[in-house]
Amino acid sequence: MEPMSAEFSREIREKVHPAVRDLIALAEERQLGEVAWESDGVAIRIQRNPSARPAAPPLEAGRAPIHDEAPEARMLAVHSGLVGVFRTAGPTRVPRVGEPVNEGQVLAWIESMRLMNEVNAPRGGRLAEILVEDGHAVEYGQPLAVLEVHT
Amino acid sequence: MFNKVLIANRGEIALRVIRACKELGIRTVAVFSEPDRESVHVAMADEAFCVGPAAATHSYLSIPNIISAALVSGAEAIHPGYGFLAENSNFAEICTSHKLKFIGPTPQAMDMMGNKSRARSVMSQAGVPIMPGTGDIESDEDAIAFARQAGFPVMIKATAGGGGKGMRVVHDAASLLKALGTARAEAHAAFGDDHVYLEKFLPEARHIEIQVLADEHGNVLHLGERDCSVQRRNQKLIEEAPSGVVDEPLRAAMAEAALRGARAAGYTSAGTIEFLLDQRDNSFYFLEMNTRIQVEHPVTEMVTGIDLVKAQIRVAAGEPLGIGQEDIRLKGHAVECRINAEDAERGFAPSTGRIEHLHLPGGPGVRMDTHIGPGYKVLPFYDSLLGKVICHGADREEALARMNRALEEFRAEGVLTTAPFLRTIINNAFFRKNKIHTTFVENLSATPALAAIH
Repeated sequence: MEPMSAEFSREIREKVHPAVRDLIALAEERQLGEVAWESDGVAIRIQRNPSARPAAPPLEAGRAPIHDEAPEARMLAVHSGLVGVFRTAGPTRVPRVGEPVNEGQVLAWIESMRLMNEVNAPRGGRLAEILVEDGHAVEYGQPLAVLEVHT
Repeated sequence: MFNKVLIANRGEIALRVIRACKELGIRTVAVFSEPDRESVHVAMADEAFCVGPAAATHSYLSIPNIISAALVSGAEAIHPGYGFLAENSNFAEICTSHKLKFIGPTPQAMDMMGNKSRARSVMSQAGVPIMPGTGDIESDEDAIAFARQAGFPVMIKATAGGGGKGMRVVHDAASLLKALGTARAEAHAAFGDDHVYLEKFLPEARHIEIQVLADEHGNVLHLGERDCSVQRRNQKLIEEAPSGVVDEPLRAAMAEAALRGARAAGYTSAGTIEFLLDQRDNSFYFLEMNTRIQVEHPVTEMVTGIDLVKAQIRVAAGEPLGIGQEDIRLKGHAVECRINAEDAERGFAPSTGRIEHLHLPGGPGVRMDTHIGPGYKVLPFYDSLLGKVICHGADREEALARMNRALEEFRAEGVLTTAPFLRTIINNAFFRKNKIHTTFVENLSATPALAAIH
C-alpha cells in the first residue's frame, strides 16, 4: 500500500480492524514516523507525517464557510491531481513553510512521465505545512501541503 | 521474468492477473479510482496507486497517471486486462517508449486487427473465409446496392467497433437508411469514429471462437474453440468449451484458419479469432479478432489445463511457449456464466447498491472468479459484471448439472443479479439439447410460454 492520506487514516479509524487502530494510536503516542505489522500474510504499514501536530485544525477540502465575524484562519489541504514523484526543488524558488503564498503560486512539482508539473496554491495565505518529502511517490488525491487561509 | 507488473484494470480481471503474478513470483502494483480504494484488487496487490476519480476516463483510462504509477513503482510491464486500455495501440506504444513491456500483442498487430475493415482484408488475403460484406460505407447507395445483392437480413457494424456498439440487424430496405444513421451516431459516441460497414447476417448461426497463443519466437498454437452463441444484444452471457456442434474435422478446419490469420497479423500473446458458423452446412466466416485476454478465457483454461494469463506474462517476458500443438488436449467440458448486477425483469437495467449478504458457490468442478465480497458496493461507474461462475465436468451434461447447482448456491442480497435468469437458460430444454444460436435469448424472451418458466 502507498502512504495513506491524513483523511484516509482518520476515515478508516472508525471502521478498520482494531490492529490498524492500535498501530495508528501507537504511531501518534510515540511520535513514530512509520509502524509496520505483519501476520498471517497480512502486512500493514502506517506512515505518519512527522510534522503533523495532533492539535492541528481540521483540514478542509473545499471553500471555507463564510462568517460575519473577523477573518478567521482556516487550514486548506492542497491535493495531488497526478501520480508521480513529489519535488520541492525545481526551476523556480518555492516558499518555505511559514512564508506567505499568493493564489496560483508554485508550491512544488510533481514529476510525471519525465515532465515537471506545477503544484499551485489554490488560494493565497501562508504555507503551513508540506506533507510529502522530496522524492517520494504521490498518488491522485493525496494531500501534499496545507495552507493557512483567511476567510 | 519480470520482477514487478502493474495491472491497469479493476474488478475480477485485475484479481485474475494478480493471482497469475503471485504464482509466478512477480510483485504486483494495482491502480484504482477513488471509489475503488477498498477493492480487493487493491488489498491483494503489493502496492497500489490511486490514479483518478470515479469517471474511468480520468482514472482507469488516464494514460499519464497509469504510466507514471508504473515508472514510480519500478514496474517493468503492464497487464491491461480486458476493456479500458486493453486494445488501445497508442497506450501500447507509449508503454514501449517508456521501456515498459505491454503484456499483449504489438501495437502493429493491434492496429491491423482493431480496424475491422482492415482485419477483414488481412484475413481474406490469408485465405480465411469472411462473411460477404462491404468496406466502409461511403454513401447510402453503397449500402442499398450491397443489401439488394446479398439479400436481407444484413448487419451494420462499426469499423472501430466492439462489444455490440454500433451494431444493427436490418431486415428490409425500408429501415436500412434509418438504421445506418443510428449505427453511425452510436459508433461516433462509443469510439469517436462513425465509419460503419455491412455484412450479410446469418439468423440462426453459432458464435464459435478459436483461442490462439503465440510467442515472440514464431510459435503459434490454438487451444480449441469456445461456443458463445448465448448472447443478448451481442453481449455474451454463457460460454462453453468445447462446442457441442464442432466435431474434429470442423475444429481442425477452423483452427487452421485461425492460425493462418494469427500468423498473417504477426500476432503474439493470447488472442481470439471469432467466427460465425452456419449450422446448415458447417461453413464458417471470420467475424473479428480480439487482441486481448477475454472475459470467457477460463472455459479454455478448464478444458486445456493451460493458464492463459500466465502464458501471456511468460510470452511478454520473451519466453518461448515451450509446448507444441500435440501437447494441447481437450479434457471434459466447461461452461461459464457471467453474473451481472442487473434486473433481468426490467430490461437488464443496472442494479446498484451494497451487497449485504453473499454466498459464493463451491464444491467439485466449480470455479468462481470474482472481486465481490460481503459489504461490496456495486457502483454505477463501471460495468455490471459481479463475477463469473465456471463449471467443469466430464461431459456437457455434468458441467451443466454443476452450473445449475452453482447458480442455485449463489446468493447476493442487496442487489439484483442475473443468476436466476442464467439458471432459466441452463435449464431450458432447447439449451440442454444444444439447440442454440446467436438469437436464442431474444427468441426466448419474446416467447411468453418460454419466458414464463423463469
